Amino acid sequence: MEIAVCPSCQKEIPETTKFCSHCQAPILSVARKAISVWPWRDKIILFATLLVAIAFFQPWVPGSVLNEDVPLSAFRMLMSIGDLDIDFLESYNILRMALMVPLLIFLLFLLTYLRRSFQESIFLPLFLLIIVLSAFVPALVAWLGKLWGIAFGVILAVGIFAYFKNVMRTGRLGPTSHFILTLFLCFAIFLYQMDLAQSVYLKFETLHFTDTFGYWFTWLVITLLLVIIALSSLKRVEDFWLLVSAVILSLVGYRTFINPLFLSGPFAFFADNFSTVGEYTMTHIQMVAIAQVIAISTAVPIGIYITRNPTAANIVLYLTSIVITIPSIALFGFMMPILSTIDRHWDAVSGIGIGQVPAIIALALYSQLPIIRNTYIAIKNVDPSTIEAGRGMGMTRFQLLIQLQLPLAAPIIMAGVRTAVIMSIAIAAIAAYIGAGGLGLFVSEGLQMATNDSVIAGAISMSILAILADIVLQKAEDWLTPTGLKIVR
Amino acid sequence: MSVMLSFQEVTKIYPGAEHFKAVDSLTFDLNEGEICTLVGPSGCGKTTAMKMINRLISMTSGKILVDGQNADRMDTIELRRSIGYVIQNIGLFPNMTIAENIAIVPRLKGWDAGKISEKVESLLEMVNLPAEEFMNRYPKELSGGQQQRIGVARGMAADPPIMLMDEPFGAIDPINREHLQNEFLRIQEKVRKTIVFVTHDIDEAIKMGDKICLLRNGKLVQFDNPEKLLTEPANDFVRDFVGGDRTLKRLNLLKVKNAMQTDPPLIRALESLQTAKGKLSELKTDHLIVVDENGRLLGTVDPAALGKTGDKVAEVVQATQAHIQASASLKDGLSEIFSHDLGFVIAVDDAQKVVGTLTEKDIKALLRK
Ligand SMILES: Nc1ncnc2c1ncn2[C@@H]1O[C@H](COP(=O)(O)OP(=O)(O)O)[C@@H](O)[C@H]1O
Ligand SMILES: [Mg+2]
Repeated sequence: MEIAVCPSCQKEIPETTKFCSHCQAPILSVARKAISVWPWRDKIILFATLLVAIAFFQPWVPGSVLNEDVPLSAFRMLMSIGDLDIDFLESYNILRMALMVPLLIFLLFLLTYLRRSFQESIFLPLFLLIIVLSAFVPALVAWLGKLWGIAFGVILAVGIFAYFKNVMRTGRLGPTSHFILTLFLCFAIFLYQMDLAQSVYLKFETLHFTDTFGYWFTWLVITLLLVIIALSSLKRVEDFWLLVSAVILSLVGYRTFINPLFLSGPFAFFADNFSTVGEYTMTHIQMVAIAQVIAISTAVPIGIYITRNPTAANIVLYLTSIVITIPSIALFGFMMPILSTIDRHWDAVSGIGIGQVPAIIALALYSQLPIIRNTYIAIKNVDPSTIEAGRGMGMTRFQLLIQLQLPLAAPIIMAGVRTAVIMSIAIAAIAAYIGAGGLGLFVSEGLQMATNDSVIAGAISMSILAILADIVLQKAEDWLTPTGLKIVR
Repeated sequence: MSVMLSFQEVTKIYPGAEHFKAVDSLTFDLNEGEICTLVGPSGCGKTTAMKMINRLISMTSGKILVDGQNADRMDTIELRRSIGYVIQNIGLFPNMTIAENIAIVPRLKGWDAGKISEKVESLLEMVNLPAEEFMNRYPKELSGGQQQRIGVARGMAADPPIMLMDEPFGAIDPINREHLQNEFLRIQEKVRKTIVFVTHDIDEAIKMGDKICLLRNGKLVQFDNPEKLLTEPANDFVRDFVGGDRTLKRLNLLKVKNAMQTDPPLIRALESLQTAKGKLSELKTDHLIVVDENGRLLGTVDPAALGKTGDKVAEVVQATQAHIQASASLKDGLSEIFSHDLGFVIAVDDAQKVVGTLTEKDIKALLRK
């Protein structure tokens, strides 16, 4: 180990210590060096923390809340919370906003510190799970009384014990310590939410509990985590999507957080219609999934077939390009009379002219182009010498297809499926107009009743669905890509 | 020796290009265990001729007999599986590991797994790539030369009696190509396959071929062994194609042992200096080659060395680098002659036993013959 000399007591110390082991004086050169090698993401997070801290003292809320004309800072409001002479709802929101700031600062610091271990540790998913679960804590507290508090207390006690044991044994912070710190974080959130739940239940019984701070707070914490994870490894496409969703979520969180009177809004709408959102989402997913199964099982064989028949290739690619230009409303419109006619001749009560059947057929039709085209291109693009080698060694056509062409084309075919899925999720929204249900209902009903929140909630949930589908399919693509193709040199 | 592959008046006219024959009544026989190089300028129909053997291209008229059977009457898939195939672009399957690539034909033929993995390992060993290191790698992780070795190993995997190779070393840099060629000839020495080897490089054709089949505009111009092709070109086209340096090319082909004098001026290391001097004047040469009891090369002595005080030849012997394997090419032999001022090189066999001497004069005499 390198040896340095402490500038204040002139004794020898290890070069990397930040504090002199004899006189405890800080060793500035070491500290400075540590800052200069700081990763830029940490710097950004620190910067964000500073911004939040400034915002805490910055007057920006209309003073009318306090019957004063000057704008007030969050800090100021927190200080004068006892003097508030305002409506219940408003004071609740001020409380929410004001308390959020110090907690956020605390969180940011902690996350900065934990960033590296978050990337590698298995505790990240656990952490997310706990945060999500803790969003429901206010309700649970109301139902179960102190049970959860005791459970958390036990976890905490075990954690602290393990922490000290570990630190004493190894002399440094290992994964266990990070776990403990994570638990601390969760516990802080838990306490805060419990406190809030109590205050909500005791003081403001008129409030619907789903609109409590817990929901907003959960959004924010998840957002922060996403931003941090995304920033720390912006190499993969999924991370880009994470970042985008993080930014969207942050904006929503920001709006909630900045405007203390923002009681309604898309997320309040979500919270209030939790089970309906779930139900509509399931319908939406189901429609798209069935359409995709149909589309893949028709489009891939067609795509393969047309690689062997140039005339058919021209016709098929032309037709599918036409289909994709038909506006979805028009396609649904076409389908209804056709299917109804079939219906009348076949089974008058099935009612397939309207609802999911035409929707699924339309989605499957729209999905043909991306999948057929990608299959066609992918198989055409397989290196001819690979195919010739296969042929020359005595592979049959079918063996060529199964052992060479399909595996080599798989990534591109999957990219086509991805496009088709994302497109279908969007088009399925229109299907609400022909009674197919799904998340489009929020939009159509919202438009009819001029409820903006409903429209925005529908739009946002579909975007999230699309992003999630994209991530999942990206993984599937990765999984289907032969290992030998992933090697870069 | 039996005929393994026989072209009989084989003609190919491509549809849409009816005005010319890509291959024009090609006729030749190839014996079992021989390499036949198909050579000629670009577009002369080499690849076409070769691919008609495993029916990747159908012939317009004529007949190809594979081991006496008409290839056209055989089941295409079976035919291809029984003929090794190595192409210029290597064509390894990027989605499969090296082991899987080599195992393609055995797997298609339904060999059992144990036999396949044994075969894969022995083939990797044969092409000088350690099995445990390469088996589970992917083609993209290999260099061009390594990939081509795998290509050759893959072509041989199911022990086909016949192999077709279309410019197999064409995409490899000259140094590696030379290396692969030598390695391949070494392997061929052992496996003795009947090989049709397409190349546009006359040097490669001469080096690799037991027979050379020189094509021009789809027509056979000359079918002969390399020595004949160099010494008796059928016409001016062949003369031109072979190049003005065809005598030098023969140096590549001929071996030291073909030209050397087989009565070298030897002297045993334990003989006395007196005897050595006597022998020197008797043979009227400048040098005596000193050997040990078993005839192995120790060095040389010249009059100056013999003039030194001493008793036995062993005490005055001068070590020498001017020796070469009798099986080396005359080109290497000539190069050795020029790089030492002895005026000759000593030819030795595998056991370093002196078997002859080689001078410029010997080489000239052989080339003139
Ligand atoms: N598929 C094809 N259709 C028409 N002409 C072809 C085709 N393939 C090759 N040819 C022609 O046949 C001749 C011989 O080609 P090829 O056997 O590939 O030559 P080589 O391998 O000797 O360079 C060339 O003139 C080439 O243009
Ligand atoms: Mg060719």
